[in-house]
Amino acid sequence: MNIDDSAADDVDFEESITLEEVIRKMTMMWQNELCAPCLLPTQMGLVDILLDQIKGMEDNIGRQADKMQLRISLHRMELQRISFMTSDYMRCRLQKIESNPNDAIDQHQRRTQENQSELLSETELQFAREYANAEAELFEKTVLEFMPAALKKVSVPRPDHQDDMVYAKVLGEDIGNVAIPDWQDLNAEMVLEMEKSSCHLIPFQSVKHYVEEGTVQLL
Amino acid sequence: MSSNDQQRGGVADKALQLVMEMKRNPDVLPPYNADLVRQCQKKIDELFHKNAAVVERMRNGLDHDPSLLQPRLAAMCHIRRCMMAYVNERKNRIRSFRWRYGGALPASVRNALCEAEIQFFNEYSSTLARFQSNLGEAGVNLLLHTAPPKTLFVQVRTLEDYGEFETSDGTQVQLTKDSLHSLPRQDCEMLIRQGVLELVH
Repeated sequence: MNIDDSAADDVDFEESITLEEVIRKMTMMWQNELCAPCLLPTQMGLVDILLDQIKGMEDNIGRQADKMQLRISLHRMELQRISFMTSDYMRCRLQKIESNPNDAIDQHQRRTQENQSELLSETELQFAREYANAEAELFEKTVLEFMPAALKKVSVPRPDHQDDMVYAKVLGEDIGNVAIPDWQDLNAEMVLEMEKSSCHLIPFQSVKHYVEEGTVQLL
Repeated sequence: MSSNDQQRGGVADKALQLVMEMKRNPDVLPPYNADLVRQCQKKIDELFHKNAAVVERMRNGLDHDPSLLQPRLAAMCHIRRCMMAYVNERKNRIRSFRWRYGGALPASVRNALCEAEIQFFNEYSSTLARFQSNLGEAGVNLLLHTAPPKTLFVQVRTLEDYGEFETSDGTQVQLTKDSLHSLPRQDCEMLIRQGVLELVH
């Protein structure tokens, strides 16, 4: 069986991702999601891995005879921490989806067309659609049904996150420079150098791309 | 002239009342004010027909005064916006009920909702339930793990006679009124939420 070099590399790569790595990455993604003013690309893959691990470890603990061992208590604390993190991550995303489901769906489809990373997972997309429907029905039955033709439709709000500021820390080397609006001259832009480990209070729009890439962390 | 003005009042008064009703009651959800909503609806209809009459005269080449067409349209949009804001605020509170009470609403809350709102609550509940069941192998209950865990066990006092309760350790506990227990945090979360247990500090 011929395994070409790249496939062998992939296998090596997968085998060497430890649970620690996954937890570390999830922590970063969770932190980013909490701090970002809008939805970030979905990390449901990581969540699924962790949910699997949690189930496995809980089963393991269930089989232990003496549940009072310190070791077991420590494991259980760790499991509770991981569960909290994944649940909080999902609740945060649900909240963001609910605040503007149609915009989320549109953005998701646009990103798929432009071959960017997915905004929503399969289940999140389904949730967004069903929630948008429930909301539309509510408004229809209470207000819009009784409106004259010209007022029957309400447009989808497109929130503009232009002015939202975030604390950000640069993780990667050589990111290059980032443009931020020059508040003294509304048409111009200033350029900021992104040095590794530097922290900034900066407009979200300027670093959005890097946050998605993983080279900048929100605080 | 001044008495006439006072009698006429504002075009969007009722709409404003709707919005104020929600602002004045930040903690309690007042019953759905179908009456006020209907009055706003009627107002919009009134304005629409006045505009339609002017347009009709315009089409027939008759004398008409177009100066009130835009203001009436603006007023209609404003009233509609107030109505939407009313429904929207209620919708947000209804959503929070699902996260507070789970899928079953207490009767006191249910009575304050109109038919469409109850249906929205039910659909929201089932949409959320579907989402939760699709997570991982056995689904995840997002009502659990709402705070970073500080300890494995929590001290709780039972508020009512609940009966037998089996913890995830396998131990059986008898929950009688006013009894104190030290139980695993994750087992208690639902019972605390339902009001069967309360945290003791």
